[in-house]
Amino acid sequence: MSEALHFAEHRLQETALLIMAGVYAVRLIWLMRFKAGKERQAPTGLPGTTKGKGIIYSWANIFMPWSMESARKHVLMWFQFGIFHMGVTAAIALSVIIPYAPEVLEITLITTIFQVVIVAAFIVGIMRIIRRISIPVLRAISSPDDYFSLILLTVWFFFAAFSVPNRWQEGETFLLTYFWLTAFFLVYVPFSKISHYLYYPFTRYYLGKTMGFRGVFPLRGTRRG
Amino acid sequence: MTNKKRSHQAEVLIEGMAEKLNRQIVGSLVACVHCGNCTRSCHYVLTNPDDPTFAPAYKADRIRKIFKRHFDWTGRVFPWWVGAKSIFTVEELEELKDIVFGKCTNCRRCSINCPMGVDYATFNRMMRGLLVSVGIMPEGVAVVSKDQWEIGNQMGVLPEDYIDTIEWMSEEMQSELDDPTAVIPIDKMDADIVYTINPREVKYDPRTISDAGKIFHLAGENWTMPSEGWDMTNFGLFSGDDALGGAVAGRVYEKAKELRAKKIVISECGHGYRSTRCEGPNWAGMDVEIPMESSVITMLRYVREGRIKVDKTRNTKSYTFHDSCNNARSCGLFEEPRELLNLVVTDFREMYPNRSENYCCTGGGGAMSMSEYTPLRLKSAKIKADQLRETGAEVVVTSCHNCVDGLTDLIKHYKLGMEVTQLVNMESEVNKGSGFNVSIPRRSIALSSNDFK
Amino acid sequence: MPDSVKINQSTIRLIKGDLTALDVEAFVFYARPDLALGSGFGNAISMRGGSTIKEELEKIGGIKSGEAVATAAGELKAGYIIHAAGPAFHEENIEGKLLITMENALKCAEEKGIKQLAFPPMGAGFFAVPLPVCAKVMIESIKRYLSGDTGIKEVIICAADNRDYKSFAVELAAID
Repeated sequence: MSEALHFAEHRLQETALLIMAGVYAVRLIWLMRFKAGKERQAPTGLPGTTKGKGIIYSWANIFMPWSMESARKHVLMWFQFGIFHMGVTAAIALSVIIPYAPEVLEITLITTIFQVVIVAAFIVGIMRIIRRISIPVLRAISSPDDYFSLILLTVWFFFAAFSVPNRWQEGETFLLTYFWLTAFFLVYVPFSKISHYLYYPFTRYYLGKTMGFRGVFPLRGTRRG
Repeated sequence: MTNKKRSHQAEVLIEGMAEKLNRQIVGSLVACVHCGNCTRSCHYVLTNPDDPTFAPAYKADRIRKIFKRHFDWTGRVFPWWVGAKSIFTVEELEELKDIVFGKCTNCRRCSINCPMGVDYATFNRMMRGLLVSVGIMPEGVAVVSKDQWEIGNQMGVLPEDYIDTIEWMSEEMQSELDDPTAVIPIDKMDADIVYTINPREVKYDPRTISDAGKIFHLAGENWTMPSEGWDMTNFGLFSGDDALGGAVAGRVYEKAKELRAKKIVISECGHGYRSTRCEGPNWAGMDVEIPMESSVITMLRYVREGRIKVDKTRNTKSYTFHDSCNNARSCGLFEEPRELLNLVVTDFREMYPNRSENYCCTGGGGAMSMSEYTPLRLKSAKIKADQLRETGAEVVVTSCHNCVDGLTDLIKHYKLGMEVTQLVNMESEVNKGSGFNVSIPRRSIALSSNDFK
Repeated sequence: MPDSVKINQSTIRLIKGDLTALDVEAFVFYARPDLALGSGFGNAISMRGGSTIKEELEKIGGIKSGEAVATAAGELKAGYIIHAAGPAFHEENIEGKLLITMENALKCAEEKGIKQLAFPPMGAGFFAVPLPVCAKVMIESIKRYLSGDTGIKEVIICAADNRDYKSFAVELAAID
């Protein structure tokens, strides 16, 4: 293994992770400095609905496509979402597995699973880019960061898919590019929309708390009469 | 950096934003990923599919841009990259006004359909309030807000007219029930219930007051209506003016306290229920000890307890129920009205979607008072018209005065030929004293609302 | 807390009530420069006072911000209405402008020989003048005016609700 690849797999990743953690911490402190809302009134709604249940429901909501009309009516989109995020998880896991537990990738089944998931995510990424460019409403709401983040992840999937077997002996180009992209991704995340996963627990927590307290969550949506 | 000079109003708006931002709103402002899921839940988008400016994410971004430019460092450092942009001129503020007042009814349907939990309606209301604070608002909002601030109710009903109407309805009630004791008490001390209403009832629909009075009387209730602090509606919810919201709600709570009432009952009104029951204590900064409930829950309790008798065979038309956004999506009130309706009609047909997923009547968020947006409102009502038509029902029942007006308007516009009524009118009609007691179904959810505790 | 304070030969009195229904010599209406009555108190003036007030205002046409003008009060219990156009919606220098408006409203009443004058919380509420600012400036201005040579014997501050009342009660109590 070249020194360049060793550096990219270790020192570069560690530095990028530290930067990301630092910026995240600043971001969280910033968010927590805003005052929290308070509900003074007595709770409303059915007794099965409480703040706590609302929060848990809100967090779990994304895993229950039937619970949200926008997902229920567009299940395919929901599956795309699932695949894309599984791809992200797999590609991030890869950046830890390769330097610290490369033996895991000697198991063919595991490398196959990783490659299938990441390639599927890559295909979804391409579909998402086309969708974002071709649908007027998505074009209207997209900032340069929206396009860049999506393209960045899709390209990253591409190199990750080829890096899964970890065959540096056969050439380091894909691995090097993958690790440099991972490092860039880690540093760029807090500055971009990709940081949404940092906010996700907060936004869903507050929505769940409010809606749970008011008897709206767990949602008793459309029911047959 | 632009050299554009910022107007004083824009300066005040940005300063005001700093005060209004809380963790929940900031979370909603930073978390949007522009996935576009919200577009499929908004009645404006569904009826204007070719215009992307109706998308909740697009509308939200008009506010988000300002937030990012002034409060989020990514927007301060790389404004172009993250779509951050400040606001400068009065013309820009006027454009923003047309978005937050004219293109959204704050129905919260996109909020429950957002995978990220972005509560657009909440910060849309915040922006309405900021614009109102600098005097930029639709004329109708100004008229109604001023009435509610200065006269004490949002339709400018003068105290003498209110009292006259109550006395008139009291006489009507006496004559209809042929009972001299059937009166509407005003400012009675130590009543179990103080009944608060919507000024629309005084001005346009006093029958709902006497219908409610009949129900209270027949139930043997110890009740009263207040001489002031009687308007449970609150334009602060629509205008985003928390000070108005707090002042109006505070008048209701303080009067009930002064009368030593044991409970405040709120007549059927979605925004009134939400404002008085759910938001008012927060706006007013008051911990209200007197319990509050919707009259729907009160009426349902009377039927369940056998205090009033109902004869559903009197209502033989076909009925459907429209959930008010404020009741269903912001206060969890959707099972009780259905249960009550099923007790008083023989043919109930559910509309789809329903409960918390129901579409707005399209006249919500104060839209009925903003005549400049009426053509757009009615065009965007098509989705609601289709939904109503599909039920095949002759009558649409709702628990909201505003929805009554919104639905009536669209039914006329789309020539649906449906009637619109409220539960209080239905129930009053069926308990006219036939003496026939309908058996009360007790489902697992029966009597289980937090309001029954 | 006291609900009235004596300044020289005059009194400042705080009440809770219905401004346009007061049986007083005159009351102040927080007007717009175009003198349109509009909704709120304007609506009450139109409804209770009849059309003559509007007609008189139309003849006057308009006033500048900070100015005040008197009209008869039609069928209202009051004899006069002082229409005073004050600052609105967080415009610049609210305190200074409100002080000028108050002074002009009082002077206008003085010129008419009015001895009893009722004020609403000037600009608070719809016009978004912060209530504490409104109470402070109004009490300060009335106190200063009544300390001088004046024929006005009583100034009433008519609060619409407890929220208004409490803010003014605090300021009134602070008068030495």
